[in-house]
Amino acid sequence: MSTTAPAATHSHASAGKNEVALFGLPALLLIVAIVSIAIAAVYLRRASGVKADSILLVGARGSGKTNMLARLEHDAWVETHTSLKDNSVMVALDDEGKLCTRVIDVPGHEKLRYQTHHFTPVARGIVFVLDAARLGKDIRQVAEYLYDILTDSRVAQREIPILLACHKADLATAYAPKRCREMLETEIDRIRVTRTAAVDSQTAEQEQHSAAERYLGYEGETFRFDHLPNDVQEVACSSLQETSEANDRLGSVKEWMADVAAGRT
Amino acid sequence: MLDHFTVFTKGGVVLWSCAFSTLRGQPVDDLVREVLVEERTGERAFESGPYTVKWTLANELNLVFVAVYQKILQLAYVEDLLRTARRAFTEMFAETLQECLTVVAVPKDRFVAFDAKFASIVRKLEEREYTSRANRAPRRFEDTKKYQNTLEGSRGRKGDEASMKRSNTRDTTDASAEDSADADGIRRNVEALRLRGGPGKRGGKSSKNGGSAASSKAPKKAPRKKRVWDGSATAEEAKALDFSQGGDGADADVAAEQLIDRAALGSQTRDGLYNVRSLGDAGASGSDQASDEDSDDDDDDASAGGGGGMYSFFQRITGQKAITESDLAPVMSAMKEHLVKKNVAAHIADHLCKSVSEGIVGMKLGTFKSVKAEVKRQMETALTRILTPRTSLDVLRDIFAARDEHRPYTMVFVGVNGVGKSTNLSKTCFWLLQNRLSVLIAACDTFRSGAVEQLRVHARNLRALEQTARIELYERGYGKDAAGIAKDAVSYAKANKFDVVLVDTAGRMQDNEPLMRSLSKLVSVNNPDKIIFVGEALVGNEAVDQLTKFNQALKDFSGLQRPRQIDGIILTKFDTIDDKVGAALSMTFITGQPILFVGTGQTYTDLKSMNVSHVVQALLRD
Repeated sequence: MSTTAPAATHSHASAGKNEVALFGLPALLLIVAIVSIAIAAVYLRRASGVKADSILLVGARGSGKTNMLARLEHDAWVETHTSLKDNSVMVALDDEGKLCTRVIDVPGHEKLRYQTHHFTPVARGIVFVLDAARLGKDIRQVAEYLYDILTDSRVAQREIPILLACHKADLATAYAPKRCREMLETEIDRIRVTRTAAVDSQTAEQEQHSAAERYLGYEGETFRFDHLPNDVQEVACSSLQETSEANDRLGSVKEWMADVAAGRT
Repeated sequence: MLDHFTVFTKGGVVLWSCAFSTLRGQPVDDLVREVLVEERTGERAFESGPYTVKWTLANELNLVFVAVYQKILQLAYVEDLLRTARRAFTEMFAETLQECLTVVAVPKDRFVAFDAKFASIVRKLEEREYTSRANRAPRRFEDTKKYQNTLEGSRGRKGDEASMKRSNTRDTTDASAEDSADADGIRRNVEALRLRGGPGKRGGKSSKNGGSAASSKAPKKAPRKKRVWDGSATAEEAKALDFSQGGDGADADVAAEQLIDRAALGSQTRDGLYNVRSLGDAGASGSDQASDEDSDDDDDDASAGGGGGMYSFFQRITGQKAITESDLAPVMSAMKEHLVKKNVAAHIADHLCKSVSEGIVGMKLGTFKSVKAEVKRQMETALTRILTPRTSLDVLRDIFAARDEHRPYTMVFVGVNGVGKSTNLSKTCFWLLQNRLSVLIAACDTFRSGAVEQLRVHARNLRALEQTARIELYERGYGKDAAGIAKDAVSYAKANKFDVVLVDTAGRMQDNEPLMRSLSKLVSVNNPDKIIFVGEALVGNEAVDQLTKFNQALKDFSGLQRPRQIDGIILTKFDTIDDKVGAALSMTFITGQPILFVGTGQTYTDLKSMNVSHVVQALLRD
């Protein structure tokens, strides 16, 4: 419909001009009606077309997403509780404030995670925030969430770049980013086996190409993030502010965001 | 008294908080996780560790107000405090809060001004609480109603009333800035009175007459009584009574007057304590109507902002009107009925509707949006939240983890009679065998004749289906202790390196105490990895009873400090119910546990995982 509408408008409009002389007012009304329909058509097309221009902050609850968002937005420290709703703000990525992007913080609670899939259509990049100090304990839950994101059909199709942000790196017990990446790879390798062996979904017959069926990486090989079409990087970061290098602590995340927003990856 | 009070956005950012002591644990986060996310906001209070947590929502601004206090304390004023604080906070920071909807990093110092205000609110409410406690002693005879009917009492009454009125006026005039707490209390009392004086209860000839007479004569206010001048008014009182100049003070007076109806006022004790007049009081019924109208007018004024008819007309056109409870009531009752028709247990449907309306009241509707559509949208998210599992459904991953520890993974199937425990156990078994796991079935149904043979047939079939499969049946005949057999089976499995032990138990009614005791014993002796409740999708209201009683029995009879609970649910006969999938909702809502599988047919392969969005759509379909 969207392709044919403008053409149809043109032909009608030219016909309308000839009629003005003949019928006067009624024809004028007709033109007005047609023009408004055309405008409405254009408007509707705008509304339905989704622009992927946001960066998502996702990750298990308690990994510090909301806090990081506040730090990115105004370099402020906020006290937080478990989020019930997503937060969405504009973040300036360079000093002049020319490069801006929308950053959406998706709640990490297990029951609210399904919302992530509502946001992937507008995602240009995904920052997967993880608590580097607790990863040893939470590895299964964290890896499962990451697995769900990676198997999302849009994440795979559009090859959305992913950043593993190893948050809370200021803590003494925090794992190094490289180690986090390896741990996630090992765990996803296991999940890949169990998930593909899980019982079929109730409606599996209808949706053959559903997201859950996608196999990550190459069969017969241990899973590596390199096997994915997506670009996966990892950085250490922290939202804590006590030293003068505070700005640098999220600097790497900001840099990555700037690259993604400017389309450099 | 109070331990912690906090205001935060639904996004999770704390805007203002006030700690009276250091909290142990994270009661506020617990509240969010276990109540707000789970759609249990229909409840009034939540207990977390040593604390009681109460909360209220301001949906139009995405705010949550939470008060935390020690569980052992009975703080009756907390709900008032939450409501008063909510009003004060949203009024004080109306503009800042609008900004907060689009910004995360809100500097906390913007809300510092609330410190003093909050302190005064708390002080006021605590004082009121204190005085009401102090006066809990039995009334003196002179204060009772009986006394007023005596000769002596009726003589003294006139003077009393006059003095009461005077003290009232004094109350409303002084401290107009601080009286929002008082005004709130009075408004609440008026509301309570209105609720109790509903039309259904107002039977009786005399009251009916009184009501119509009063409302026809004075539609808005009951006639005012004479003021007694005893010639001894202080300057302040005289000023308060001087209505000739329309200053601010007079305005405040009038505003306060509108909130109450003098004739419906209760009695006031000597030291200024206000008691709500009880419904039985003679002559009270007529004024109910009046006060009702009064407060309604007041509500309208508040929401329209006094902008006049044109303004509200445009508001209605552009749809920028906040949703009120009265808008919601009819839609919600229709929604509730709809859910019950879908086989959702009645009280769960009720609870859910309450919770959803809590989340909607006060929201602003967009243009061309109906309340019904909004309710449906909110209900959809609520249902998705409830049905979305909180824990991982990946049983295989658990089994592999157990195998790494060189121990068999134990699953116990429990449920009432005839729901399909053995059948679904064998389906699960088939799935496990396909994943090259070795399975031992423990026949712990030592009661029903034929139970062991049934399992033996299943084992034989499965062995035939999967040539390489390693499956065995562990049985000790009938009439033995089930817990003992299960224990033997687990140690047998460990010795022979089985990966999984599936324990089949006898079906039992949830009310049968001896059987529930033996089930609890089986669980506490063997401490299985998963306790799976098998329930049929055909049940309606019964689902609630079954699950609560199974959980309760596991808790009561276990004798353990940390009793086990049901870990997951298998919903059977799911192919028979078309779109009446309410049982799925009832069961997950009651236990908070996920539905691991649904049984959808007669063959071994008819075990599926539940598709949440599919169930949600089925529930909402007309």
